Amino acid sequence: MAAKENFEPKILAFLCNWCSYAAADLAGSSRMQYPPQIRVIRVPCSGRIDPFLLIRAFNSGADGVLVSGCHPGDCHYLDGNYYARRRFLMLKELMQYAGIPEERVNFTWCSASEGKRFAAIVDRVVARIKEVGPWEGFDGRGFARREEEMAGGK
Amino acid sequence: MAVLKVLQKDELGKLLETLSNEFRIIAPVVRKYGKKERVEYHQVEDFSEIHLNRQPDTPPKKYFLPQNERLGEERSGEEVTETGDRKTLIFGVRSCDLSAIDILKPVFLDDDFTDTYFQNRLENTLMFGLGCSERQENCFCDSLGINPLGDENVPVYMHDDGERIWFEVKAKELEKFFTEFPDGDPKELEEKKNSWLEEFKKSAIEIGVPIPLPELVSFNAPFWKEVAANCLGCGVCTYYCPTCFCFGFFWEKREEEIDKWRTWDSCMFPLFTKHGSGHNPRETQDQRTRQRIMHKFSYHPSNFEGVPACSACGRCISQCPVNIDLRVILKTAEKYLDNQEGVKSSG
Amino acid sequence: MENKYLEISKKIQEESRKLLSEGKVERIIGFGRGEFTKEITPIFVSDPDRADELLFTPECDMMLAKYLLDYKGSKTGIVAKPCDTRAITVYLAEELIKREEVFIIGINDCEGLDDNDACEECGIRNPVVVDLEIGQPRKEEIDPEIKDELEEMTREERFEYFQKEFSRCIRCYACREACFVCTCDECFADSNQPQWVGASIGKRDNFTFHLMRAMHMAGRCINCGACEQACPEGINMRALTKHLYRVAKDVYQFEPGLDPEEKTLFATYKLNDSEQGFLD
Repeated sequence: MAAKENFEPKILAFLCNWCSYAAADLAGSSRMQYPPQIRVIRVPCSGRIDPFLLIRAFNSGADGVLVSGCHPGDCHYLDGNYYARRRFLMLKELMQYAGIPEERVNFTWCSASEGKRFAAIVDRVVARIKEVGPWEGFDGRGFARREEEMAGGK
Repeated sequence: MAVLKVLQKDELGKLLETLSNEFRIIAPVVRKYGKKERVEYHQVEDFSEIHLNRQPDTPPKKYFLPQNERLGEERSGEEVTETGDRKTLIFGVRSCDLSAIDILKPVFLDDDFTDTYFQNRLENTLMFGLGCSERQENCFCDSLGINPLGDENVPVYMHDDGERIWFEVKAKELEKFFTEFPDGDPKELEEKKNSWLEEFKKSAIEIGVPIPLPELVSFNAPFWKEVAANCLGCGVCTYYCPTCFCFGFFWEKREEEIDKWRTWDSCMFPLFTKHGSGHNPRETQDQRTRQRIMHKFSYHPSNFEGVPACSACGRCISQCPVNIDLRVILKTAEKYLDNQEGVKSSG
Repeated sequence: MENKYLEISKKIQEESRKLLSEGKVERIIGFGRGEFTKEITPIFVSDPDRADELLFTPECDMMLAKYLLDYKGSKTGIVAKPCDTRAITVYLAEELIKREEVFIIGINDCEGLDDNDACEECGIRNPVVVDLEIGQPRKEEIDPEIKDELEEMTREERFEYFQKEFSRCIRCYACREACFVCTCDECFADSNQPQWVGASIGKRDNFTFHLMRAMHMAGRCINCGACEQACPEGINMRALTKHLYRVAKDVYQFEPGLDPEEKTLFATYKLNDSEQGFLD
């Protein structure tokens, strides 16, 4: 396994348009520092996120995923995140049972005003995934990584 | 004239030991998965594992046409052809599987187009045949005119009489492996063979369906709905079939490179015929089951000198999750065609 | 055959003959025996004279409920084990079939099937929905534990175990087709736009396929074991779906296929659902 210190994880972050994406925006415009390893995908609602997308992320070489929606009760579409909550809990259980470290699968809630919280969450997620190291794929063969990624970013 | 040798069962290891210096040995071995006990072809290192007592659950097809075969990559621009690394020896191949390979040959080694991947594998593989001394679970090779002790086209043919194994060594260059073992009495073997064949005759079923099946009459027959009513639509029958050879091509992107793959496909899947437009000419499962049977017993024999694409090994029957029986389908077809006047005479 | 099963078979034949000749149902889906193999195979009887072919034994391990989907729009009778009636209940809850279109001949006091481990973990021994009962219902209730064979393993060991199991998968999709839950018009595994899993058979895509399959089963799988029974390679794919069944039971007190009025796990929610394992 490649040296953990130099490892810069690829993390897919699925953020809901109404809360968490706005929180990321706020964190950015407020000049808050957080690690650059997340790749944000904006979705209309956390209820839209098919668990398959997250499994597929791992099949395509993501080291971890982060899903963030509105706090329960705050959903723009009233109850999208309530449905999502059940799905995510089950997915997390499944992944962990199948032997994928739970640190790689992260769910949280973040409202539009919680820029600070968002930065802290990303901090935590990156630290968690760095801790477990690079994801070697379901076959354990690993994924080709560009050199600069392994050397600690540009 | 073949050299006839007799080996005690515990001497088998010694023979294979010497053979393994030159060949990669593939043989049927027992594998236990949960409660399921299966006999499968695997590369063997420990020869005591070899299990010749019954028909293996999987056919040796994968050594000629692997389920997944990388044909090349997009980046290099040229096709990578695999040249056989080591000669392979498949040990204990029964008549059904031997004739199945013979069925595949004209498909892949056509005059106009030769599949080099298949050809390479074929040229680099030897097979030791094994006669069946008793009928296997669901097989009916004798009903389709295949001899359960048919020893054509193999360099060495074996017979297992329960205590000893008889080797008919027909290839001169392989005789050197057998010199240390005692000769057998051809008369004794002949008697044994006859008694085995007698046994086969007792349990034989008669398949009187015309081969090839008359195309139009059978295609439009109403019985397909009935015989395929309980078909689930999985691909077990085709993936376990020693003669099914349909495949698809895929280009798959993995990280930075694009690989070209050839992968088994099955006519039992809806996707097999689905067009890009969304239209599917074989929309229902009975149409797909019809295709499987018609390909085996009508289209294939029409194209390849009357030989059906079925070696009657019975694996599709044994492995089917809902126990659909090919013999019943053929019997149903037979009954239907008998009632259709003039079909048999006109072919 | 044991006397008990002879009696059940006889009763099924009798009732089926009556139902068919009275025109109450158009066909009966049940179990019969093959002509050559003597193995159990699903049969479809629409002629009262053929009702004698129907039977029931502990070898009848196929789930017949799925065939109901092929006969929508007409009245169909079905010989149903308790697990079949649970499957029908899931269909009713998801509005895939209409209650008035099925006539359920339910078998009471199911003692479990041969060679199906799932039966030992099943607490439903009488039909959940039924029109006609065969035999006496079982009185005492049982609540067997849903075992976790992999409990002792560490996470890494489980990962390796599943890798090994799934590496044998030939993607014949027998598990999918045998499963009554799998009713999608187009399976994710067949889709190439988007392509959820690769079409070639490799460890990576096999693992993905089984994860996605299990995720699709969550909250709908009744742990009947049909997938495992159908698998020609003997892969223990039920371990994943069984785990999710257990979680749904523990966390949400939800067991699918017990009440046709109840919505399935993912079709509903509670305001105070668990957030176990979420980052706070």
